[in-house]
Amino acid sequence: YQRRVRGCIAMKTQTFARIAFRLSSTKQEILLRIVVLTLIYIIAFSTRLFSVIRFESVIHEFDPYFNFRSTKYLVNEGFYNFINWFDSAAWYPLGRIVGGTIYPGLMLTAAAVYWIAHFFHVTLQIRNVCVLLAPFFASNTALITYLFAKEVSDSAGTGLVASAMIAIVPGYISRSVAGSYDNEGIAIFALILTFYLWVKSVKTGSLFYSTLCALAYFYMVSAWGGYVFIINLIPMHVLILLFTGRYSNRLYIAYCTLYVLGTILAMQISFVGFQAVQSAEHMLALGTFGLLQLFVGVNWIKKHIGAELFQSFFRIAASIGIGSFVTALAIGQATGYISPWTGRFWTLLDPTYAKEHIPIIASVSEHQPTTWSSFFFDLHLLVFLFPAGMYFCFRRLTDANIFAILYGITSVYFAGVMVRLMLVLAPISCVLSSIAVSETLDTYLKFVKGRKGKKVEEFPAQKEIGLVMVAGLTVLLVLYVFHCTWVTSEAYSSPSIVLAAKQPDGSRMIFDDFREAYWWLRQNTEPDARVMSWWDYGYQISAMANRTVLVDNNTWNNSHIALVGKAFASNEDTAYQIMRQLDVDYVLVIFGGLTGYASDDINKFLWMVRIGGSTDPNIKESDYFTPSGEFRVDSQGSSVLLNCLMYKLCYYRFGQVYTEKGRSSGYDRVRNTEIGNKDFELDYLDEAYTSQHWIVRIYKVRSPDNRG
Amino acid sequence: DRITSCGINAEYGGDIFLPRMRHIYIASFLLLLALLVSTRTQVAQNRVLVLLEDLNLQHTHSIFFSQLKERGYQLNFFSADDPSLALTEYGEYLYDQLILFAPTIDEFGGLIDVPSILDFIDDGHNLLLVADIGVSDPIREIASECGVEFDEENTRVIDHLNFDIRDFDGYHDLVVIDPSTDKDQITQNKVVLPTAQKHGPILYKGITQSLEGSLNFPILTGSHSSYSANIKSSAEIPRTIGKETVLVSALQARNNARVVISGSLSLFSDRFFASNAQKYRKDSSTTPKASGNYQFALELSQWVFNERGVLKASNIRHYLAEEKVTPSVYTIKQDVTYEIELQEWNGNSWVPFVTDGLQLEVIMLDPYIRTSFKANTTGRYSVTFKLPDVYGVFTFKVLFEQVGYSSLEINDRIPVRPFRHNEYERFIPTAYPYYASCFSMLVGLFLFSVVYLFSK
Repeated sequence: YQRRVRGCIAMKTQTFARIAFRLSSTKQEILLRIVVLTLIYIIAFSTRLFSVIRFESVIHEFDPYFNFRSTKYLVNEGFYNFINWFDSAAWYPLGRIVGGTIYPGLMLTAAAVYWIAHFFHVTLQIRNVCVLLAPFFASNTALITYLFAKEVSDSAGTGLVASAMIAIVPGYISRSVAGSYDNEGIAIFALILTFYLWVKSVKTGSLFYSTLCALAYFYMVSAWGGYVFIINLIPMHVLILLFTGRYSNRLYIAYCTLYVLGTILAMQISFVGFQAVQSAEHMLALGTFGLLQLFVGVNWIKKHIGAELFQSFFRIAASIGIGSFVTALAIGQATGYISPWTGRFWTLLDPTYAKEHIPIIASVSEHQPTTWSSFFFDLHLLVFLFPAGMYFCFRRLTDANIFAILYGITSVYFAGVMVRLMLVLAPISCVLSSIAVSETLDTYLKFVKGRKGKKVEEFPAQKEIGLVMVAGLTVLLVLYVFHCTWVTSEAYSSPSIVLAAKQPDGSRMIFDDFREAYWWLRQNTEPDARVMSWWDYGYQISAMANRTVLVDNNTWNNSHIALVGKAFASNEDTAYQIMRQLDVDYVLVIFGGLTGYASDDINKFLWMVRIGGSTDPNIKESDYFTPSGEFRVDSQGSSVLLNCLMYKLCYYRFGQVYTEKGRSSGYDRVRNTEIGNKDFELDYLDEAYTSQHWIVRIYKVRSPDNRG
Repeated sequence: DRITSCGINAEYGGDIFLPRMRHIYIASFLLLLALLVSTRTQVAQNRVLVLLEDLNLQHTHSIFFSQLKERGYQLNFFSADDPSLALTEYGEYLYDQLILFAPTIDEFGGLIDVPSILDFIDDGHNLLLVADIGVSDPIREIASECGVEFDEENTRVIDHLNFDIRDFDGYHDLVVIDPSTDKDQITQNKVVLPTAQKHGPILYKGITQSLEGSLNFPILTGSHSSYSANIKSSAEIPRTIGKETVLVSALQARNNARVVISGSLSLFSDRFFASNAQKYRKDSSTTPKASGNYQFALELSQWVFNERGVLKASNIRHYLAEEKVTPSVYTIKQDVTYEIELQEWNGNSWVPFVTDGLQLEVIMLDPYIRTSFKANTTGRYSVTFKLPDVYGVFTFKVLFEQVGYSSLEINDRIPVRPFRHNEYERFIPTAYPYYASCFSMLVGLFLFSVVYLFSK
């Protein structure tokens, strides 16, 4: 990386020109650029391989398992069966229409890579394609960021710095390490590509680029729900340009082409469908489109009639236009033709909305508001360079700059609301920071080198100050590289399906309980057995154990999840009724008390209570707390908690186990307490399997008593 | 399967003096015979273990046992505390039915204990459990596990209005139930007792029981004036009174194993079988009649040993009503036909079972369709219905539960998927304005281009 940064510097200052290349300086520059970009391409890919090297080539986490499973289905069954896929093994007994409830871009991309490779007789396994797709696309993102930053700043050097930064920025790596086979992995590529083409088409006013932009937008729509960000940001850009008097015919061509083509294309994705013209999230784009037509129409009329006549005409036209638009919008909202804003969208505007109204959204860890520390953790140096870059943009406003500023401001806000939108902020902070870096280097390297012909210094110690600045910036950039590598290696490269812990002697201990238990399910239960677990594990069970699940990570049916939550939160009798009603054969819980694995079901339990309580008022959160409002599993804990199904399934037989030296039996190493209810038997379930470290526990639901 | 076809044990001892050819002839003849016999299905559950408190009971209850023998049962009499007792050998059951005539046994002998008897039931076998006054703890425990609680020690049923005339000077504990008049005291279920309701009065002397389980049902109960009490301490308040005093009850478990629990051992005795019964009436309005105990015990044993009321379902099929094929996945709104054939075991062979009470439910969380089958005389049921406009995993459920009959429950889980992308209607009338606007736009653009390009 240092080499690359120096390379950038070198290019600007052309110090390398003296090196014995028999090329013209332009050609040398191009050659250098290619070399640097190639290195960036390689580093962006290889820095994401930590997890493959440390563990193995596996799919990570939860959602990627669904994507992997559906990609396999796509590859095996073909495209038409894929879009018509009705998955009867999920959401028992409701089933799920997979084709109509997903963004298929990711699976199609992976399948395309697979098919192309196989066409050339490169027999890649589909799993490896999926595992390595995100790093591959991260490399592509780095290339596109180069173009985007170059377009925004009109400087190839800035582009290279931005490209180098995004290649290793942790905020993006967190979602694109090898094995993290998720929509975001390719969506950021599509996002930056769309923005690059948008800026390009605004600059050139070319139909060609705006059509390409619409296609890129289509790819983005097919890949990720975050496309809503694009379809709101671009109209905002258009409006700002319009209100600041920067309207041009280029803008008109670019926007109208993008909106019309992009909307028609977006409607082809069945998950989006008519939302693209009906839902409130898309109304800004429609309104802007209308306003633009009005603006152009009015200007045209103005050209043809006198100014006096125009004044009165404008007043009438404007009031009629705005009036009818507002009326239409109001009628649309009132009749429900324009769908109301979805919960996730409300959460973006009002971060407290979900907490009060929709526990299912609030319960997802990646929907939590971002803490300050994670900004630094994910962006490091960029946090400080970001405003500087913004400053440089403001100093020399262009259409493209304004877009970058707008993108920066909005994404900072969104990243503050939801942790996972840090992903959207990362690229623009790289671009803005690269502007700051290259502008600063530009300024100070001139001082260091001294301008030819100008012998007189503009201020004292000019050269020294320049040197200090350049050196300081270099040190910061080096620190950035170290930080990024460290974060990638420590925080973002564990598959979460295989856990690792350091033992006192420094050696690594591997907990492979998840795969062990899922494999047990796959091998030892009837093929149509139905497994009840909290929704977090739904995708993994269907993909790895190949068994029917009741709820999974596609949280589309709140009441069904609430029913499962209610079962876990109730006592055994009530739970048994629910489980019989849902034809449950096995119950799977995740328990960390023996190993100290903190994200287990007991720690998630309050969300089950809240979500279960959202449909059934009999489940009250306060019942699960002590009178003083604490959540405790020890003998002080509430009796409702100590007798509910989740507690019993997690702690069954745990009361006889010694976990830590000097502690009594049944000592929970996550809650750091001795459990309160130790000796109990299960009335309606039998323990079927408990994994090696007790992380996964599986129970079989008994059939009704034979003799009544 | 409880009923399996079974050949005779063609044990060929062989006669060494016979010429070789004859060996083959005889062997093939026996084989043929075995084949012929095996085609005629018959009750294979004929191995009965009879546990007696006292081997003398063989003689005091000889009529009951001999009629069982006549019906083809192999009775294996053992004393209940015989140390060589075992229900299983190498994991296989040695017996198909169990008769417990040991009301006061304190501990079973050999490998038999209460859990093993309960396992015997849970593995689908039948039990005739007979208790009596002074019933012991193991017997109480078995009964309790089968949903029946006997009254306390030394209590017995007493009825001062319906006792036998011979008991005039006694405790009035020899109770008479006359099926011809006391219709509410004996089950009217024709599957359990086809004719006993028409026979003579039933003599009963023993303990009472109360039913706790949801699957138990009474066969014989006391009258309004009966109660249960300890004759030694008559001051006590009776535990069960009136119709609650159940005398004989039955349980059909979920796996269709049958248990009959009687509170009287003498109910099955030769003495009661042979004697007359006459209710005491002051006005001497009753006349002595031959007791109906024999018929009652006979029909009870037929039912409990699966000779009656056993149903089986076969040829279960569901398919698209038009195409007559079964797809792996149905589509919403398809017409589906469901077929099933029911047969009943009449003691010798399977005969068609015809009822109008058979229903099909199509369930996904809630029942979407509940419809009755139409039956023909051969026991073949069929119904055609339209799947609802809802996708999901539906359960086609046929549930037949009637007292006396073995219950049938058939669940088929069938995914029902929505239309494929090309299964929707292509051109719908309501969309014609849109088609028109599309084509007018095309034409308009063309005209506009022509005018724009070629007009000066």
